[in-house]
Amino acid sequence: MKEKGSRKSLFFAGAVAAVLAMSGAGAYAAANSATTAGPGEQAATVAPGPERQLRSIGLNASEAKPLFSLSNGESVGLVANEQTKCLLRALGSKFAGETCATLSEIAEGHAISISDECGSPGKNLMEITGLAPAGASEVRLISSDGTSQSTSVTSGAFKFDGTNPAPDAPYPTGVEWVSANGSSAGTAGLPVEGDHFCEPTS
Amino acid sequence: MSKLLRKRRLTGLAGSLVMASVLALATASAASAFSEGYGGYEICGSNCYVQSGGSHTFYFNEGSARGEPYLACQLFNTSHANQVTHGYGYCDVFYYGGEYVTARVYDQSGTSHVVSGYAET
Repeated sequence: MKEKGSRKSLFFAGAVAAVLAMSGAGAYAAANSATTAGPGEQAATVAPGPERQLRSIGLNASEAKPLFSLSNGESVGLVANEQTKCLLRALGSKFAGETCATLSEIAEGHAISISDECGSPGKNLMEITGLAPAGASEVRLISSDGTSQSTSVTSGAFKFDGTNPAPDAPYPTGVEWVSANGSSAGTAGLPVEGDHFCEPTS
Repeated sequence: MSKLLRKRRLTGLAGSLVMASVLALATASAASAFSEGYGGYEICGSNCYVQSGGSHTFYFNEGSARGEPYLACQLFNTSHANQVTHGYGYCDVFYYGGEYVTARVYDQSGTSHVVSGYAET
């Protein structure tokens, strides 16, 4: 009888350990797991937190190749394997963001991220960074008023340093990939609804 | 005698498991003082959002959804912090100002999605 009691203690302790292990990050990851792997679903295969996309792919930020710097002080690097590329941002020694995409997602133009400094004391900076499809040597950022600006592709990546569009002012709507001979290699939209670059604080 | 030893072994093992769990939790809390998963339900795609339960000294916020909808991650307060990052199906935003901020994830895709957020201090 007493031995049964001890076994109960053991089972109880095991159950407690299992519940504790499943709580928090583990439960969050499990709740987000899915069968079709988009960027969010791929990330959800590991526990949430910084460098989540990298961890889900098995890449390491310390192996990133430095590419360029941004006006907001962040540096951008690239790390990749055969199927996936990740554009990483760092502020000094601190991790500051990641954009990971498969080669097919890059070809679709779904490897662009936009960072907006919308706080009142800041410089109102907007940084558009991304991965360009194979064959693109230049990227043209198209604005809602039809104007555009261009930047070159560096190791498959590009950046546009700018400021957040003022209310009712023209705003970026998409990019056009330009090949080395100057011809268009396709277009892609930005992951923003209209001019909602900054969001409200209420 | 052997029954007594076996009982002690089982009791000791049970204690070790509980201790290991406590140590694991203590280590986790030392690595990250506070974290919060939020959302996880369907919201509209016209800039609807999920939001953290309160404000903390969050430095990291991420959002995710199935597929590749336009998502925007935000860390903000009513004084002057307001950082926003946009991405496809996943977004992350960092704020190293050390202030109390609220975390949000917006769906800007135009269609409804189940959107989840996670923030930590």
